[in-house]
Amino acid sequence: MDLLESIKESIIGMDREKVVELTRKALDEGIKAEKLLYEALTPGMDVVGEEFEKNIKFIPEMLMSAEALRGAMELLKPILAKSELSKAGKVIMGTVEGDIHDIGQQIVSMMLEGAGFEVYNLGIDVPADKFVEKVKQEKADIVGMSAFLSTTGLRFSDVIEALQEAGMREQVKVMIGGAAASGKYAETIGADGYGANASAAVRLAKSLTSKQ
Amino acid sequence: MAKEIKTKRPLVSLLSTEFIERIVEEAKDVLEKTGVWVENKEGLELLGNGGAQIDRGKEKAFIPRRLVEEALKSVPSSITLYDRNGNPHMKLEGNNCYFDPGTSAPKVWDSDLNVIREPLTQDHINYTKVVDALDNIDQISAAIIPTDIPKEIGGQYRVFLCLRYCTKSIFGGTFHKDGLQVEKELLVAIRGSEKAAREKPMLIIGACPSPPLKWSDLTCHDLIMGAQNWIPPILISMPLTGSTAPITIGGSLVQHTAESLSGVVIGQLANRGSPIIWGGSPAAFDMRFGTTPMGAIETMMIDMAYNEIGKYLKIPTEAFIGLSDAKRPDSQAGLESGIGAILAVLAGINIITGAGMLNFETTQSLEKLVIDNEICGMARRLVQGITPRGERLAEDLFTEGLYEGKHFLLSPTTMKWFREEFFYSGPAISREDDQAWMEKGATTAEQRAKEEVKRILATHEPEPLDKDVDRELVRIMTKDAEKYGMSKLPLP
Repeated sequence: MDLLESIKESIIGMDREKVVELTRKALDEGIKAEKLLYEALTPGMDVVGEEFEKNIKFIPEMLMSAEALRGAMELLKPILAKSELSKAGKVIMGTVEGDIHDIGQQIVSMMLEGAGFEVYNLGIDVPADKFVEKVKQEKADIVGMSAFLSTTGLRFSDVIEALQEAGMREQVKVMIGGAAASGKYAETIGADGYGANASAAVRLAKSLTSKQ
Repeated sequence: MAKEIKTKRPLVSLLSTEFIERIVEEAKDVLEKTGVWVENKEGLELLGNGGAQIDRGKEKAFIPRRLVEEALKSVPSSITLYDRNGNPHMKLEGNNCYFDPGTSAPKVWDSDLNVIREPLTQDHINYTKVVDALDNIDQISAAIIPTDIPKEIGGQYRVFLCLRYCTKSIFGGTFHKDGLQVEKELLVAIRGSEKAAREKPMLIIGACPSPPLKWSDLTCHDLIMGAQNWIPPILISMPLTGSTAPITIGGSLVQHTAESLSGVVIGQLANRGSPIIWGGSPAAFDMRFGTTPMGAIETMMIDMAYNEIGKYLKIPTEAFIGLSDAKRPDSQAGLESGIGAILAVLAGINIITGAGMLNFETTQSLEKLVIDNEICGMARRLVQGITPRGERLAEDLFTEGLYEGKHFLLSPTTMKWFREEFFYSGPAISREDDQAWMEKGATTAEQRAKEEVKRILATHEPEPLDKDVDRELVRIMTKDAEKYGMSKLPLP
């Protein structure tokens, strides 16, 4: 098996150590970082994503593969051109103010990273102005918000309004998720989309950025 | 080092030992004083020679306690069944549980036409392939009675179809006195010799006394021949409360015990030490409709209780439980089968016969088989119990630096146990979120099961039989069919 193929297989095999070791070796042998990213790492994650959709791989396995990818990216980041790094897009993620239920949001964040997005996760109980500030700072493509409680679901519109007030609503797509969200609710509050689950959220993020 | 704690196997019990002893004593009284009707010459002779008092005119045998006690001493407490390839795959003893489909349905649920109809050979072939593919159905049963063949060959023809398209051991039976001889020939063809067929039994056959207290000519014949040929008979006593048995559960249990004990005696007289299974298909007769509901809670209570009696007597057990009286695989089918399967494993019944069956044991459904396969998986998981795993049970709560300190998804202990600790059901059971469910068509369990049946029939290839063996099976079966005027079997 050639080196690229071995790296791809090690991503699928969730072996972070091996992915890092082989990536280092490949770089030493003079293989370009771009080639590694597009011909080994991303195709590996694509297989993992497909198997996850088919219920062959489960959440912990998919996240382990994403972890392995993260290990390789630490080596590639200093070398890759800035444009390559955030080619898929930049996403600001967070659980809205007053809500601490973030396991879904964390999974989405990790899966987005696996899919090649540059993700900034603001964590839990994030006030509206903090979202706005980060969007401005990173020139983000997407804001992803989650809420579990129906009461905190109301905070989604606070963030959207704050983006509008800052004059940034046109530059950034907004997606929502979590038990307090729904497709209908996304429409009502003027968000750009709703992700019912982690894979749906990744699909949504891809479609939102491709429209731009 | 933490002290090792054994996993507790959850069990429920409905009868006290005192109550069991009273039932068994009363059953022995029945056999001694009331006696059993035996419409089979060989059976009467065996009982007479063994020391029972025989009334030939009435075809009745009065069985003394001594005969019962001797039989109980020699009957085996463990039976190993083998698959078609000769590998051991079911060990009937203790509280081991195995699932097989409800057997001998004269009808099938046709989910394309939305009707209950008479089955054809192709229905049995499709059924056999589906059972072969389902992981939680351990054994196949001769579940469907095709109507495109002579009635007399129905029993052996089903066993023949099971052998051709499935490797699992078989719960079969006969409808005619020649049947078991043909089934024996089929088994010899599979194993290569009569000796090998005896050493590795893969067929068990139903032997049903007619309530109350009667062995018909055919069932007694099968019981004796099964015992002689190491084809373990399952005693399927079926008291119907208040119609063919005393109205109370206790009274019906006495009748079940008496009928079953008489079967054990006949089997042991025919071949001392031969295996036999303490089964049954009682029902809490419904006094409103005159029907025999298998989904009634009292039916299940009788099943659980006679199973306890079988265990007390140290004989492997079977019950028709985990089936439903619904007419299609609807909510009623799911709930009755679910309750039954869970109670059956909690009772530790060795063979749990029910999957796929609807409509008082008359109608098989492939869709229900798929749904029940998931029920069986859950039931099996339940009795695996809760195992203390690891030096520290909550290792992750003592570990610093878990992924961002917030969740356990990437912890090595999660990776180690997340598959083994849980049974992941589906595709019939939906655990997706509503959005994903709607995207896939907002289907019911019944619809998802239908899709799965289609998928299995389109993709599953059962392990093929050796060509020569297969030719021999077809030869044996064709020869038998010719006796009843059919020169070519309706095979695809």
